[in-house]
Amino acid sequence: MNKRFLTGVASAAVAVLVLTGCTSGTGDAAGPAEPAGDPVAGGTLTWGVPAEPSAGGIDPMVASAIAAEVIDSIAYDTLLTRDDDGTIQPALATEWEQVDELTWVFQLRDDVTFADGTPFDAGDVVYSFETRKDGGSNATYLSSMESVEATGDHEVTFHFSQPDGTFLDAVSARQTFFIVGEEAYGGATEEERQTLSLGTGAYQVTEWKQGVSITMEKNEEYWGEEPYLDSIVFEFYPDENTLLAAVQQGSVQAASFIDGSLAQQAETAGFTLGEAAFRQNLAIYINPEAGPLADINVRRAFALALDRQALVDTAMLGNAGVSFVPPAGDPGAPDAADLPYYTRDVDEAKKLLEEAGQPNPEITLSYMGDVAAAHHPVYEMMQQQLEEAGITLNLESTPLSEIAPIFTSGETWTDLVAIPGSPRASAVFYLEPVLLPGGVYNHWDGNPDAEKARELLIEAKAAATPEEYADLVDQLATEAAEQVLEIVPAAVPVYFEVWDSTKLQGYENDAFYSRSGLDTAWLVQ
Amino acid sequence: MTVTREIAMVKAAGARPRRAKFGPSFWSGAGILAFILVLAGWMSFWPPHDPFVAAGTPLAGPSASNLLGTDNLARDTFTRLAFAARTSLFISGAGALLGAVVGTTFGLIAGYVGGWVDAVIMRIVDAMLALPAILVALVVGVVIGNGPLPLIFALGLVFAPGFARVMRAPVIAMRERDFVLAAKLSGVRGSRVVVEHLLPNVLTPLFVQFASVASQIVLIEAALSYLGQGVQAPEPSAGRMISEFTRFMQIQPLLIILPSLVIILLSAAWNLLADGLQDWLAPRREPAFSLTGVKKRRSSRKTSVRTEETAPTRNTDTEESQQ
Amino acid sequence: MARYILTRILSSLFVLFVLSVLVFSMVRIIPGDPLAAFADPANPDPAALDALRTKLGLDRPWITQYFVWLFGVLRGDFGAAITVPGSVSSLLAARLPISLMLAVMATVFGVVMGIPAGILAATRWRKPSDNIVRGASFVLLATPPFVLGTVLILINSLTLKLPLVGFAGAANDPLRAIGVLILPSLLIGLVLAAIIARYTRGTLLDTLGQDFVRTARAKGASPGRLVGRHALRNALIPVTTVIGIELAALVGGTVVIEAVFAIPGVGSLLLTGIRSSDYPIIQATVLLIGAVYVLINFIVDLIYPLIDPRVRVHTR
Repeated sequence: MNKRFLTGVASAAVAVLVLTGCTSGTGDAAGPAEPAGDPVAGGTLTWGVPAEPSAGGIDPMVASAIAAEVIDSIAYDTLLTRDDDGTIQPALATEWEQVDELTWVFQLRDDVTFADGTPFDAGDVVYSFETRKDGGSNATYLSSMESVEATGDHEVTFHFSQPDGTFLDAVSARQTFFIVGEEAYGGATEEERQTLSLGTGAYQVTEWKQGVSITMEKNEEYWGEEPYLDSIVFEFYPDENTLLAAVQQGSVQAASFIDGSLAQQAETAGFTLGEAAFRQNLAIYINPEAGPLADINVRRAFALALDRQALVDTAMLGNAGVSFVPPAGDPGAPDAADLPYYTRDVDEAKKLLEEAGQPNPEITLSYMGDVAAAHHPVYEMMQQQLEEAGITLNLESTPLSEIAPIFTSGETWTDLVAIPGSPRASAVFYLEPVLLPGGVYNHWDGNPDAEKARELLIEAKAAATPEEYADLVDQLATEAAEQVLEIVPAAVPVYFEVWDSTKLQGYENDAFYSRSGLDTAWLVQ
Repeated sequence: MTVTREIAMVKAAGARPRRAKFGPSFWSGAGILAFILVLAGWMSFWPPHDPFVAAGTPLAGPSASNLLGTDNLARDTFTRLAFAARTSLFISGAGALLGAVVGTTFGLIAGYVGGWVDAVIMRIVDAMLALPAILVALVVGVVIGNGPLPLIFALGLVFAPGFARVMRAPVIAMRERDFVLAAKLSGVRGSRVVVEHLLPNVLTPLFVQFASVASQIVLIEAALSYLGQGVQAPEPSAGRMISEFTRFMQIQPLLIILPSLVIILLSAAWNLLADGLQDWLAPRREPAFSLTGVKKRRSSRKTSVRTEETAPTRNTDTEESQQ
Repeated sequence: MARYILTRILSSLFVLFVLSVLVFSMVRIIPGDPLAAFADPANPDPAALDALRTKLGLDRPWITQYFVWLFGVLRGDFGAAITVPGSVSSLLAARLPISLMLAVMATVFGVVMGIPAGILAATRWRKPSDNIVRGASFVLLATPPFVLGTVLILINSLTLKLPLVGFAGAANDPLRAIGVLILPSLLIGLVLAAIIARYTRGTLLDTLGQDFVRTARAKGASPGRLVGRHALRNALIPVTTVIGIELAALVGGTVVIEAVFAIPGVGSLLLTGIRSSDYPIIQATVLLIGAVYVLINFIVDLIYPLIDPRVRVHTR
């Protein structure tokens, strides 16, 4: 009797679910953005996000998590910004000039005040850069900066110890050198810096309810055009399926997704899906000190056995791009498909393995098992593809907290470890931790395969002009692909952004996940 | 929970005559488990497809070659589900067994020796029982790693205290009984008394507890795998399949319906077994009357009657703890 | 009686102490590194992290760390969280009421649905209603709640589009909070109802089988009066124990439901802490959950002799 009942209930459940499956196919595809009406002021925008700032809170000098950077890029400004195609635009600085190889001079705006009313001047810029260089986050971008001084009320001069080809990139990146106020930031407590914002941006953080939401309110003192929205509330949905539900039930007007397939489902439900720039490499770092990967032929065979386009199309359902270093979505990134060993050739791979005397090598790949489940199919599919060339890939799903010691205390790993990268302000910094001494992903010291790449890297960092820098970076990427110093199966966007264009208008996402479009967007009342 | 309350419950339950026949609960539970066992064995030797390799078009529905369809990487769902069921069966059986062995040992020792040994053991048991099962499993799992074997160890550890408590009460109740005193007086060694005289009389709650715990382990393993802390990729696991494939729900709902059914089936099977064992070992005395007012009694019904679960402890009540 | 209470208090305190040691050592054995959250994977700086480690006192011997923590706890200070700004106490203070509300609402649903179902099943023993209740309990007990939750949310997303998920708007509004918690607590309550129904049915059947009931019946008492006045009171005593234990287990035992419904409760705080190996959070949360459990059990132990005369005589 019990079993019969069980079967009956199970059948009913199946029937309900199948019905749901049938009806869901007929999604309402309102699709692309509605034509915008006239801007109106006022309203609160609710935006669902999958991650909450953690260590360091939203302190722009301490926090490095992307969840914090997204908030900070709204609340704080940088000296310069850049368009999606890479054109540099003024922000807090109006003019910039490289006086000589070792000196840069910036002219600053004179009509800016911080959210608390204190005026902005050169002293704040000096303070920001000195604090950052002295143990702040992203200090590595200032490694060749010798000093910074205020050479006028609204003029700042930077002195370098050697030519730095990365500086212009870094200073115009939207999340690298946030400017804080000497008074506002300097006078605040550690907790205030981590939980509130003290910047010059269009909206400032006024409340942070742990685990629930972050509220930002319009900055009345904003130096640019007055924003239309009164406030923005970022709600936290750690489970992205729940976030999708919130989107579909109308609780949020916009959302960011790490998982592209969910973003696509939101699009099917009538939301606008912004164009996503593939700025996050699913980087796989190599430890060639022992094991099959010590032999360059094995590494090349590995690279040749991968069908990267299939990984993009099937494992990531098209929500990714073929990439190397820098990520495909970085402005100015070359087409990775042209790089050596990027086109699949299983026969050639087998030949190389024969040459290396290892026709069936066993290679271990450790990856983060408890986060970013959207990326896991890539590794599983890689396993399938490599099998065809005779390579056995052992997948080790490891908790994030166990992989972390690799980049916190420089622990070593076996063969391969997959650590999705975060976007860097400048191209060389993707390979810096891999090639330079002291880099936590560097197991190439003394390995002749990496020597030329290392030299190119050092040269690029000290490039005198942007053209020279770009050229050297290209050469570096080609060399790194030639020697297979890193494996990148695909690049994904940091976030997919969807929004309800019947409610939120005038908004477009940018390639830098900075949501700068919110400065000029409005809500239909 | 004081021991006196437990004794009161046990006494209220009283001694029952054993019935020799198994009821429908037992057979359906045992049947399902046996079926899964056979299927698992068959799959291990002759799987229709390799569970880690593409075998068709992705996200396809049932077809001749893929009986239950395929997943997002075109792997055969039927094979993967069978493997997942095998893993789940193995983890639940082995975990419950480990918990039973460890917990019963401590419970018997505590109950028989008494005194401060009893007190210390029971306080540690209380401390461990103060935490919901899934949390302990989470924390222990993080410590000793993920995967089936560490999971068995973690879950055995989680449920051992429950066994200890359940096994201890009857021991205390029987400790003073005549036949034990007689054995001790005639010089039988303590441990022998325990094994030969007490153990057979406490088997009733032991078997029931075992099956009940196993059914809970199925659910906890599913929950842990859902959270990413249980069985890891690419090893198939029903719980993890649900979390991985919820995002395809609107495209291919079978991908989460089927793993759910597997979990439900396996957990229910253990439960049925537990109920069946309980019916067989301690049938219920018939109530004084039936409120439907009809007097007809089917005499054969007297054989398969139900009995009350033993004292409320961590055995059946912690089905809650994996919400 | 006073001696009994004293013994229970001491015993509970000892349990809590053992728990604190267990929790503390478990957490230290975890291989992960709490400072991982401070590191930028593309831009690592081990030297800065070492400095941070010293600043947080994480490189001192375990014994020292334990006593520092313990004395803090006794003063009500659970320390500062490592990967989240602010003190652990404030985090818990924000989340505990939510978890408590969820647990209480689920228990209410469970009792309201479970006890009548159990009574129905017991009094209609072996009849269809009994089998329906038993069968439904079975299926509910075997179903993972996150499956029910996910499916229901999905159905809602496609049809009614009610605001079922998302706690954010409800943080300051208790009424809206209850509204958001209704569905998850209903789901948990369903499973709880299954458990309670089984226990109620069991104890009621046992009670109905006893001599005093037969006697009352023989003396002419009507069935309804028998159940209502005599049998039910006896039968419900052990059931209240179960309810107490379940309620205690729910606080913190709802990790998965909290994940599915995006509820900022104690369970999801623990999950966050575990994922980032944040020792203060893990220790404090586990200890708190354990303490709640011990407290509720203690209360139940105190009440039990009051309502069950059979046990009163034997209290130690």
